[in-house]
Amino acid sequence: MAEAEPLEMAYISEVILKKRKHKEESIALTRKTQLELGQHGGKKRKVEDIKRPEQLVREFRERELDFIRMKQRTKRAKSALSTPNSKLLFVIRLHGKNDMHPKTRKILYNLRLTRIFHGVFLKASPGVLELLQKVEPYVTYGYPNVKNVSCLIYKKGYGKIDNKRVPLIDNNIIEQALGKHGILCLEDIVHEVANGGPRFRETLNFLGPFSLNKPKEGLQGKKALFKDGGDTGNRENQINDLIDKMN
Amino acid sequence: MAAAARPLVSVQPLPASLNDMVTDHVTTVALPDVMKASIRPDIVNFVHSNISKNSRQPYAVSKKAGHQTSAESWGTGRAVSRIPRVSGGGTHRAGQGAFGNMCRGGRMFAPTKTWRRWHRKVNVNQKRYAVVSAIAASSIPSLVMARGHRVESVPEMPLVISDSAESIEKTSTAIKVLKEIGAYPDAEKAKDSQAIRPGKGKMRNRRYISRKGPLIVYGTEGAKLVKAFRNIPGVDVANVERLNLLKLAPGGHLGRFVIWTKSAIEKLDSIYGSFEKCSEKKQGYVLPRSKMVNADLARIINSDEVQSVVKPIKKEIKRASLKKNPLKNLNVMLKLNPYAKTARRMALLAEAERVKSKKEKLDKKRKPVSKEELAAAKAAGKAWYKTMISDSDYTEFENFTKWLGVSQ
Repeated sequence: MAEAEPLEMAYISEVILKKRKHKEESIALTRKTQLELGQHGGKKRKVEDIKRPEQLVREFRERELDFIRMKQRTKRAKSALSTPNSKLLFVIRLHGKNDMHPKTRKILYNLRLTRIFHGVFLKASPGVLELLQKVEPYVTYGYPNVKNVSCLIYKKGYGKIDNKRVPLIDNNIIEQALGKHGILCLEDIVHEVANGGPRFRETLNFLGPFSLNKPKEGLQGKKALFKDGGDTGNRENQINDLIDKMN
Repeated sequence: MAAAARPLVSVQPLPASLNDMVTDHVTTVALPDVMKASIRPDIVNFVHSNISKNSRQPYAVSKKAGHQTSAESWGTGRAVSRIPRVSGGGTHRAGQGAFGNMCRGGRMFAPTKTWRRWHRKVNVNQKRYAVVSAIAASSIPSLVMARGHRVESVPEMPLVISDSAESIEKTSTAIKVLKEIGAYPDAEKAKDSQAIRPGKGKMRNRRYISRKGPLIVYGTEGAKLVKAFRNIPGVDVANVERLNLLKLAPGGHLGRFVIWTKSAIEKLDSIYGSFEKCSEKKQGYVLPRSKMVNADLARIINSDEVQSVVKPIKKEIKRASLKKNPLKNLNVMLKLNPYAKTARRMALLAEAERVKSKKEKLDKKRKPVSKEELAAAKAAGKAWYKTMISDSDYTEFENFTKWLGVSQ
């Protein structure tokens, strides 16, 4: 009885297995409920989807107003900005992209806040604070504590390697990217960010923007400043509560 | 030369008893180039549908039909519709509607005219392409069988018989020959299928219908076999120099069962030429070139020329790794921060320690006091009271004795 060479076990990566399982279970279920409710996949072209000229005019006017408000904000007193409590800021983008002047959008893009509920760590320098003042109605920011810094980086930390977003699941990745600055592991990154080490800028650049979950009951839904009862602007230490909800 | 590269078709010999000619050896003929032309059912269908219109006879209604009345409309006011009505009186016909297609006895809508365009012009090259395709299809047994011919007992496709068949005179001999070469089941099928046509055609001089049998193609002009074979039901005869698409692809469907004589198949090369050489009979005509010379994709892909320059298969596909949450998954946490284990253990121990000490403290406070301790506490209290009332060093002693009424 000649025995053939035992076949190698085919290793299927976990991502694929999870995808298959998800496909079988939940997508079939949603299709079923869709059929029952009479909703079908695919966007139907409705009459309301066609943009009317009044809407276009309104959008343009809103954008111009937004730009004017931004310029007014920059003219306000800057004295309060130059004395922050800590060196580290965490900025979360709160609002979408409608009615945003292209210049405001560009600032947010430069801060790497490209999507709603994205967050970034920033150094609390006067230049940064000026930028944040310009985009105030679209972001909220504050001083995160060490525990939140650590939680964010562990749970949602992604590094930027070769312009690709790589999850930080192994210290080797970090060593290869930041080894030359003396940062070898995830704890090093946390320490660097929380305590502002010598390679603060490079570390912050390496860490990609954090895509946070939406807070279940966290936000007021208003564009007003935090001190006036809304969501936006500097909320100093209260940011930690928000991070807890969004992480 | 191309002819040498072509496969050879063997000529079926006819038995010596049929004819006086003795054919000893089996001869072969090279397959003519026509049989390798590209088969285009779309062109054949188009050409056939147009050519079959050419033998139509015009029909039309009489141009006077429905107008041989002097009808006039009665106008309004008489409680009748305004259709022209037949004038006069004394018959049923008077006052009836006329001239309209809706009227009884009126002319039809759009009366048919004889000058309708009955015939169709087809480009000569397209007609030739169709014939060439049909000839090529007739040499492929699967297409012939798909068309419905019974060719299971035929020894070879294309079927070529020796020239002695061209001098057959009797139909009985013709039938024997068909049986010899295995073509009789097809002729039999045609004979069995003779039936009366359903529909009005049967009273319009198209009473009988039947299937098509084999097509015999002969080479020499004035061959006697025409008369021998023409009465067999289903069998058609054609001279190779005048091949008809309506016979080669009846109904526009490729793959008629064709029986060639040796001289016919030898003439095919000169009539149609080859892919490079012009035909002799048709001026400047070259067989049509196919879009793909070698249409076998699987063979092309697996050929050496392609496989030698193709990049190797990527077995190691790098997929995005799944990110697991270190705050929930201990193993992943340890991979990132091995100290986390001891940190967590120490935190747990410290917590346990805190809990324990708190519990002890509370227990001590809540514990019920024993009798001896209780008695001792009471005695200590009494002793202190005694010292209090007896101790004269106490400053307010005088007031105290009066107040309490205590005597020493």
